[in-house]
Amino acid sequence: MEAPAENKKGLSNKVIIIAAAVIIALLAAVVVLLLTRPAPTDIGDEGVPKIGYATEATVLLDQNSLQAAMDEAMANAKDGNIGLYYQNDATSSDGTNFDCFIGNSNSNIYDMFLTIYADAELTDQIFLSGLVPPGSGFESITLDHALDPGVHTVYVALTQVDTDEETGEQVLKNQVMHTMDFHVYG
Amino acid sequence: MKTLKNRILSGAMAGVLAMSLAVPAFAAGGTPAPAAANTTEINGTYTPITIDVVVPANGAAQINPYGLPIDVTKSDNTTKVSFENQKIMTQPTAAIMNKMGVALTVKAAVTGAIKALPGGSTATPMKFASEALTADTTAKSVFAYVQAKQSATTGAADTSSDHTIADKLIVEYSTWTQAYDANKDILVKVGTETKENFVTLNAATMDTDGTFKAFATGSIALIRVAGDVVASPREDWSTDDGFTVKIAYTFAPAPAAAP
Repeated sequence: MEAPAENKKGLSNKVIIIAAAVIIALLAAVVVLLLTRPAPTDIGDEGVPKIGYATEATVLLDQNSLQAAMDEAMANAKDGNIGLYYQNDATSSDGTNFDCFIGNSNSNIYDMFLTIYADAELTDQIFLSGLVPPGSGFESITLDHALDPGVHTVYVALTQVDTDEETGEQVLKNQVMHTMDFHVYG
Repeated sequence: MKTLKNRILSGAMAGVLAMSLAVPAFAAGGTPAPAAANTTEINGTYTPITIDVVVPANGAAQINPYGLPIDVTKSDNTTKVSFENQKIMTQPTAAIMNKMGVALTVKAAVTGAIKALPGGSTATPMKFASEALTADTTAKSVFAYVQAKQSATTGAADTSSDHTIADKLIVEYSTWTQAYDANKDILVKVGTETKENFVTLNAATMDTDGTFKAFATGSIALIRVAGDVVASPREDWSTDDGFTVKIAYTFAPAPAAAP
């Protein structure tokens, strides 16, 4: 009379053991993936200011240092202009998918990527693009998180990237920032 | 009878009152709508404008407390232009350029920040001054502001092989004397300061097919960070001192001039 209850108990234990084994196997797979994934590509910046897109002003106290700094600034400025090619207004009905025109002007000589922030302090990143060659761009984008209905002034940062054709090495070149208005008709 | 009379009188007065209120209502109704034959239907299509401008990338600025002279060499690598007593100086080719056939107004949002001193430093960080420095200012202070000025420089677009425009801008910069004007300039401070109508960029000269041909007078504007620095503060300046300035531009078609 005890046999059916014992059978049920045994079956239940088997299920638990199998489930635990599957979970452990999955965990192990995740650990292996994390340990063996390729390291993120490190793009050198050659002194270009880090995220912040700012001009850096430094105190210089002697003639030689001052002149050297200006000579370097002028050398960097030779290809230091960025062409902007975009439309001021982007529209969306759901706050996430926007009709939005931003191009890499064909007057530019470097690829660029875009980072869009919802705030002037650049703490709320809502979009990051891949590299865009000159003459190409976006007609629509999908944000990382939705914006509420209304009009939002967003901050669009362009970063130019120089890629060495032979070695593939990528270096950040120039950065600039402009605003756009994102309209959410919700 | 008295009651009936009162009722009749009350009713008549109410009627008069109602009519007197109705007259303004009829008057407010105004003229009857015109007949359909007198209406004109206009169909229009909104065409968004694509902004096509060139802006200077963020670069480096020099804080020169002693006002030491700086030479800038033109693209021929030989001709030098001298800058005197520039306490704060950005590269003298920084300019925003309009490549469109319409004039643009430019709004600028300027965000300043003091650079953090190296870890372990016991020095006092510098400060932004909110007004012009005086002779008795002894703190490590900088009075910095961002300025813009329409340029007289014209010509075809600057390219990586031809820096004719850049050379002209260097000369214009060297003669640019403009004291701080709170109505036009943007004070650099910790936080963001915004100015609508910071500068207007005139329309460029366009080709017959509507494409950009050349910059016209005023379609380029010089941009600089300028200001004053306490030369001999109570605590000496060090090369660790500095600040950052972030500028975000907003471009929009300029309103048409009133007829």
